[in-house]
Amino acid sequence: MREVAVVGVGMTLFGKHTETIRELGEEAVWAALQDAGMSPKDVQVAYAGNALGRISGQEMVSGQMVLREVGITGIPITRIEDACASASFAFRESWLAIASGLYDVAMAVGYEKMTGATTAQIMEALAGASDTELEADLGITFPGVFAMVARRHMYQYGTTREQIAYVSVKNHDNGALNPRSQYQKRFSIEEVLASRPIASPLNLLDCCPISDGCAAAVLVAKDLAPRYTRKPVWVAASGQASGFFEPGSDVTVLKPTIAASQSAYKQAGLGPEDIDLAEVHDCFTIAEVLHTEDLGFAPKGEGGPFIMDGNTAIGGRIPINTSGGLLSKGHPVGATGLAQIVEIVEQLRGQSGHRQVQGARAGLAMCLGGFMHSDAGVVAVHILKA
Amino acid sequence: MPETESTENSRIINEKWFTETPQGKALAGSRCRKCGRTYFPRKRVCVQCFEDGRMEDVALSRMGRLYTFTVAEAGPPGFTLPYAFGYVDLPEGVRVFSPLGGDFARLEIGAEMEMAIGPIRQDDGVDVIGYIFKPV
Ligand SMILES: [Zn+2]
Repeated sequence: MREVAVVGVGMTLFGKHTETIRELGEEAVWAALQDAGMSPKDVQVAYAGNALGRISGQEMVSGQMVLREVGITGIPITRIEDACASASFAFRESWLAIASGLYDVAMAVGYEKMTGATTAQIMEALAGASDTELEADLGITFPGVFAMVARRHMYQYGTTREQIAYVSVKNHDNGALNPRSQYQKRFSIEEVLASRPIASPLNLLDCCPISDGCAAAVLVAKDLAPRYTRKPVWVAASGQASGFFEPGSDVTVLKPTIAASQSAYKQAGLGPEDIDLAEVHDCFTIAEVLHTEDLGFAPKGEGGPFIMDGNTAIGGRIPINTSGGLLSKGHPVGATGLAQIVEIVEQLRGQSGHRQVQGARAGLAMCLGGFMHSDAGVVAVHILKA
Repeated sequence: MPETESTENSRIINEKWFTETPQGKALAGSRCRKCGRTYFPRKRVCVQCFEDGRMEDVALSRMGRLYTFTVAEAGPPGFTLPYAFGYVDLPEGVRVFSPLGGDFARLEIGAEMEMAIGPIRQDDGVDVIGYIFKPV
């Protein structure tokens, strides 16, 4: 396998946009190309992440439609759908395309347009990331999925409602330092607990918002990197695992996260103790508690107190979701995985301003797509190095 | 008209999910005759021992224990708020995702649950009839 560098990243502001995915895509992809100082004609292959085409209306060939806007045409372009992790796998396939030796330059892009639909329509569409026959048609919702996880985590480990709420407080604190975050507002634990009930025990401020946005990254083979940047960020590892769906599985332990991260740590020759910062899939507060444990940053069951003690705040032992995470930065589903990559790349280049993790050399991005039969659908774990 | 038949104003969510027993409708599962693993709904290949063609139909227990649950205050169209759902572990080793009924205040992890048949949502003015677990 060849070494692969990220030489350009770009993203739109996340939030409510009047722009279409065509316009959002043009902005972020062009920004990534500009960041790399690259002509669109240098791109040899592209992967596009998008999940909710049924909401935007562009259910098919959206990759070609978006990339046409910047003159990336003619080359192989493939759209990838893996729910919230769609863009993570656009990134992984881009890496694989180059690491395998087949191509030298790849574009990974992810985009989503969610606002404009009603919350009920969004919940119905997102429930499509479960088993639609046996779960969604019977009423499952994603806030409900993670509410069930939260209830079990509290029951098994004594995790408190305040500890879970604190994830939202911390991530909104970080989002307030990120100009591209959908929310620039801080909340207290009391405000999270007093926000509107959504699915017991979770409230509105335990849930990520509905968002529009696009993120993109340009990857190249090692020998081409100096042509585009003086600060390449290396893809040290790419891990992927799917749900195991074992009977009676413990919903507080997401085995695909463990499998994907073990694979990634091994590839990178690093352990959780070597990671300087992580972006993890905090679609709901409790999810970050699970990931903090399953990625090996805290022992199983101790994620709640570990986070509450400040270990994952900026300046803590392992800062998590310095971007604000999905909870504050926003969650345009098909763009999220690449927005995580954008944050890690900028942190490793020392470009993150007031939320900079000083001296960061290794960053991890973890994204989860779908959930069914009490296990995650699919998980991506990437490790990047300066 | 009992709620277990499809009518003009109601339809059974999926007839294949149910079987008749002397106690009424029960969930219809498959049991592997080689290794004993049981599944819901019915299926053909056992994914524990990969045996094909040795599944037998079984009526699953109407009683189970609540693994976890939530009461939802927001949901997709067709559900009357608030509504509850959760995972119920059946003695056959099957975990079933299910709408939950009865008194929501009595829902707790480990609670003994019993299956009932009833409307779970509305679809264009038609009641969709499915299984619902309620605290005993
Ligand atoms: Zn078997």
